[in-house]
Amino acid sequence: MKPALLAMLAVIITSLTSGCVFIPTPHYYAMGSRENLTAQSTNLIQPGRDTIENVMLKLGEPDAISPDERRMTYASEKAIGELFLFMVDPDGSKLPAVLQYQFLNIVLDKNGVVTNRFLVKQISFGNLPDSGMH
Amino acid sequence: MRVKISVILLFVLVFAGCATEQFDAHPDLLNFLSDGKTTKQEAVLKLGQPSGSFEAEKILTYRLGFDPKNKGYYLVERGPDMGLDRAYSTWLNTKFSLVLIFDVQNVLREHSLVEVTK
Repeated sequence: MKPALLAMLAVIITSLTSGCVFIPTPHYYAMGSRENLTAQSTNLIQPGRDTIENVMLKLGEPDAISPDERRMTYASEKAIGELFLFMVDPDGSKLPAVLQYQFLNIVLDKNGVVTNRFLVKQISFGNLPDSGMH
Repeated sequence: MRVKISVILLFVLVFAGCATEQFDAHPDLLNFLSDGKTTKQEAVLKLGQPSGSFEAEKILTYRLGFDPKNKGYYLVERGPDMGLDRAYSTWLNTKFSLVLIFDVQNVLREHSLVEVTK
């Protein structure tokens, strides 16, 4: 059997047995999402040096902040593909979007100096996942 | 006559949903901001209620839209969080986040206009 045919068969069998197929689409930000959050944003913030003021001057108003203002999050939401569900959505008219969420979580000490920052990436199919900030 | 009115009404109803929101953009909206001079009172009088206030009101933030036609800014209220019970804000119609840092005398110490959407 030719390798191409074999590969195609493998894709079809895998798809049928798994029940869904991920269809990659051009990436685009969800409506209303922040768009200035990149992998480089994490490096912009230096623990032990940057303060809450510096962080906001660089990234703008945070998307979420704890009541004591010692933890804050910058978030973005991007569509990266669609999911084709066999049997459930045979005509493909209700393809659920595959969303990638990015959360830049910043922890500050009582003086407002950054002590830690970490980027969390999560894939979801519609519901907003946990930011990983507890 | 009745047919004419019905047709007009139909058009109004059909195209009402296509109307775009109009914003009153001002190219000079932020010209008054001057580090070391502008007071918090002036800023609030000029820009209104901030979208965010942090560190005992030492940091105020505003959301701004931008009209490329006249290069003007307009203020955007922090909108509802898309009605999806999400704890995160949305940036609909917003281009910039204006961050104002005030000193203990409530005088503008530093400010920045951060582009949050492309």
